[in-house]
Amino acid sequence: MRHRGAVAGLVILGVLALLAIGAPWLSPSDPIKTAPRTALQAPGSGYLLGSDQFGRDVASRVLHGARISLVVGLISVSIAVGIGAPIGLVSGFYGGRLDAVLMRVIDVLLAFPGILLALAIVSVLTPGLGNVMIAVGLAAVPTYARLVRASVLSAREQVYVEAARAIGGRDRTILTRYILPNVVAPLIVTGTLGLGTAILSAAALSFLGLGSQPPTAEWGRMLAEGRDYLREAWWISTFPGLGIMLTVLAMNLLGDGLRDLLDPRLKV
Amino acid sequence: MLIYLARRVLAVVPVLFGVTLAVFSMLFLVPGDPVKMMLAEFVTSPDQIAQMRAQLHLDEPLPQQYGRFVANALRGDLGTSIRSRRPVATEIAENVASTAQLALASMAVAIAIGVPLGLLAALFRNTWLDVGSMVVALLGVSMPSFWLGLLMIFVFSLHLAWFPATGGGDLLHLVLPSLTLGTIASAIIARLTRSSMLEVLGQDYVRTARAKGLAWWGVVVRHALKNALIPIITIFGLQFGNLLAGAVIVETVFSRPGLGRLIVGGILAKDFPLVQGTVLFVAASYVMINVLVDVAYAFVDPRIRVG
Amino acid sequence: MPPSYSSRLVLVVACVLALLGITASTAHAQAGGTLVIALDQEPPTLDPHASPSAVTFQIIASITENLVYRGLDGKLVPWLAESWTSARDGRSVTFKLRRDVKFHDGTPFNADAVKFNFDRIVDPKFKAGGSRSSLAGYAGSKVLDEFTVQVSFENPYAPFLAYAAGGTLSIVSPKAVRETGDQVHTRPVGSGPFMVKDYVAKDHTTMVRNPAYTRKAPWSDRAGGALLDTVVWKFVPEAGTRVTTLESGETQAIYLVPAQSLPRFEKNSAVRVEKIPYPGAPRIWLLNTTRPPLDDVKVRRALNYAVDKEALLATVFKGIALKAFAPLTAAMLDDPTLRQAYPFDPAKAQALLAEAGWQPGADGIRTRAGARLEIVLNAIEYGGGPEPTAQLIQSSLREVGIDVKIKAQARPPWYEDNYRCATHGPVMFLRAVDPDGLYPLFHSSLVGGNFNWSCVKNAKLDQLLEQGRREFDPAKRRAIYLTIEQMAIDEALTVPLLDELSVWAFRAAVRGVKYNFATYPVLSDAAIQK
Repeated sequence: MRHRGAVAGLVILGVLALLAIGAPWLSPSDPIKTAPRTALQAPGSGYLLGSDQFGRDVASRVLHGARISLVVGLISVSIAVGIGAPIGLVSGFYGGRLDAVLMRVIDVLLAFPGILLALAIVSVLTPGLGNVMIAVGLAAVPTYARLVRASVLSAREQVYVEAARAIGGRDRTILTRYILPNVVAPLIVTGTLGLGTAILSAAALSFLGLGSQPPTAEWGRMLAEGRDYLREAWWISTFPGLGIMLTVLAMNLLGDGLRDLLDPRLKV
Repeated sequence: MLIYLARRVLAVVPVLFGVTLAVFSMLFLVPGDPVKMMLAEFVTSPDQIAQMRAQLHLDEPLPQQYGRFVANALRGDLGTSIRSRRPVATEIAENVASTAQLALASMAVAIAIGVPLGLLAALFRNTWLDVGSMVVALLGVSMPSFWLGLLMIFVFSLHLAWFPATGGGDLLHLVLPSLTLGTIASAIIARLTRSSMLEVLGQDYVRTARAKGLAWWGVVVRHALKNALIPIITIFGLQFGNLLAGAVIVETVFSRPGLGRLIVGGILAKDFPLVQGTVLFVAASYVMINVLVDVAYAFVDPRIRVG
Repeated sequence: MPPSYSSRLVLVVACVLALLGITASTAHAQAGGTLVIALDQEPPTLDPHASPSAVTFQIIASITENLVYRGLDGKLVPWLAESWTSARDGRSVTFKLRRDVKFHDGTPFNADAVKFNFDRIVDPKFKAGGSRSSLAGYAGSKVLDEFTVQVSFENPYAPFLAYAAGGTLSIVSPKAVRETGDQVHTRPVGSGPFMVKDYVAKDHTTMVRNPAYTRKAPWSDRAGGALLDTVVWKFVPEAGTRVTTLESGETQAIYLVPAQSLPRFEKNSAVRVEKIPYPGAPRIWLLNTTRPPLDDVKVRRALNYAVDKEALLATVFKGIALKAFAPLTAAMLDDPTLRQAYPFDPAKAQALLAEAGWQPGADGIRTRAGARLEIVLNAIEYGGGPEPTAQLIQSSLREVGIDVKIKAQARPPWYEDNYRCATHGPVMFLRAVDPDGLYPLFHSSLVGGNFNWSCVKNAKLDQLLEQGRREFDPAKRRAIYLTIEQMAIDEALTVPLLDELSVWAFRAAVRGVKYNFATYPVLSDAAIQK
């Protein structure tokens, strides 16, 4: 079952990626082009997924939104891994006082639950899509730092590392040859799941008005803008929401599958 | 036991210290002059800016400012909101009940949906019930709360008119927000219940009990479920944090008063004392709740004391 | 009566009273009951002197009273003052006050109270809102006897009586201000037919009937207090929710009906919509004339030709606004000559831009000497999106090769940018009760303040604006302000967008709601028919 799930996830993700890349060519029209005389048209012949309050084509906006969400997710997770992994590596490998200090810092960051840390960071950086990526990325640093640290610790206990140490292997060699391979698998699994989380958080921040700027076709903002039209034009907010859910679902399916495949120890 | 408790509580001190330091530094990480930004809505003279600076003690050396910040926070003084001109502690006091209600009600919803779903999946492992439950749980994990909230408003408020869409106050207003937040949290609980139940069902004593001919349901309820619940309790602390954070978004969707809206409103309005105070309060509460959960856990499961 | 007032009256009579039909006189309406009204936002404060916001005045219109009353017909009639005389030099007005007025806390109203109120507004220690500019050049109040007060100004000040009738110069109980401190922000103590009972932040405020009110309110044709027992103002920011609460009967009135819901309301016989044009400045884009490329009048004129106002009227403002032509709404000052300016003409805009040296570029955006034609529009972020006109302006201007960046932000940083002239100008609106509303918009002394966000410094304009304040003759005043408007149009200091309507919807059973000049509802004659 998990296997089938992973395949389904991969397929959905592949289709989404293709749609995102091909958005400029696949879109029926310009996602930010307004057409006041045909505003709030229901999904149908004229507009596949309807038109919004300014007469913009919802289908085109949803397609372009996929582009933004995937990029935002990738960059945020890259930031998180780029900062978190080295911290975890250093902390786990050298241990001692450095480890203690780094882990206390991580503990402090973990005291801000969920999206609260990202919110606090955005409040300092001022709203905007770029800053949202930074905030969501920084907020996820503790996750990766802890994960990598744990993997390093367990690898260090392994016999072959002891052996390499005993025969006088250099730190760098031991790190790259013996420890890194142990870190990569859980990192890939968690990173895939983390993509979903990052996309959700970034869309949430945009929904709150702290992220993307108009007229950008971004899913979170489209949902927020469609909120006042829920009754008369449900399609404005329904399709971007579906987009977010499908994308995150695909990431989760894939992540769960990868976990079974790469790292059976990491069961829920 | 006492030693464990003392150690657990003492470990919180450096974390809380770090939290205050992080929250305190927020004001200084802001690009530009925070005082000017806070006073933006008023046409100000240099005098007024200086006065504001003095009022916030921004003219003192940093360590002294930090000391004052912590000392005030310990006395329950979290500063004054720039916009409402009221004490931040008062603002928090007025909003905390609403958020706590939402978090608790959502927790109840999450358990009411999540535990049975996870149980069904575990007991009927590898049947369509298992697959179905886990697909539902996966959808829940992937669902943006703000979208689910809008769907709830669309169906239950705009079309069926069963519940009010927005606002706070009575229990009716609590239904849709707690359903939204609880449904999403239930997904994680369902997955956790399933896996810990499967683990327990595989244990020797459960097999023995069944071999002795005890009724299947009796075994499940008396032995398996009881033991499986222990790890579920641990997740309470973690989930509670997620619910607090989720409330930030759900409160906005339903325009419900609460700490989340206080923070978001504060960020949008550049009301730094309000944001700082509320974030500090939420983080500190989260840390303390986790300590309480750990302590409770130690009482329930004696094995913990060793660790 | 100037034509503007009569045009508003016609609209009101046509739109409102005709819909009501010939209903029972309010005097026969049933007394008692609760009216629940949903507003679009929470007021920053209910203290009339501290508030910069129209919401405050919507709520307190029947709680506090003024020296003078002005209804939709534009006439000034006695209220707390029985009569008044302006000095021949225009520098002071002497008010004879009523002797039978008590504030809600029992404090008697007298000349000292008036002096206390006005002195409070100009007190440098007090953070005044819109009230400060209503008393421009205030020199002091003199108590001539217990019920006579003379209010003086440094210069002749023609708009004063209009302002004295406006919400900002409401009179509150001096005792309450002295004794309750910060509580005046949620509990102003006035003398009107309603008084504040409670205030729950982010939720609602309740006002109840003032049993001691036995006078005839100036808008009413009967003596005696309010018919309703209670009025609850709920703060409901989401337009869709406001609509739902009215349809379900949870509320009996809502303010700011969203355009998309109007058609449904108009089909629903249980609901009645009332629209009144606002006085003041329309929804308007103040063009920052100091920031290139908008320092070039050709580019500013091009913007005026290029913005498609019909697009606004066809979408987010359908049925809730009229086309604007000038920096004052037609309800404030109307003249056929103003309506000639700037028809929608993208071709003309293109020609003007080309004349100014901006040539079509590769990506559809014009360039000059390698620089793209970019303009930053300062827009308030309302949570569900920025200022509703912003994205359509952006879209219109892209058609002629201008790239508009929308800087969507919360109010405080939005103000900050306006004070510093840091963007190409904000879209804003100004509710004003006198053509003198042009003074804050264009007088050079208010660059960096409220609201000269076109950042214009023009000696001729300054002189005309000052002259308007000194001129008491209605015909001459009108001529002065028409000249100013014509100058603003010629220089293209703004892009006037929409004359907004104050749009209210009521359950059909709600009767007797009247409006003051600023379009805020006065509620003592309101009743709910059983």
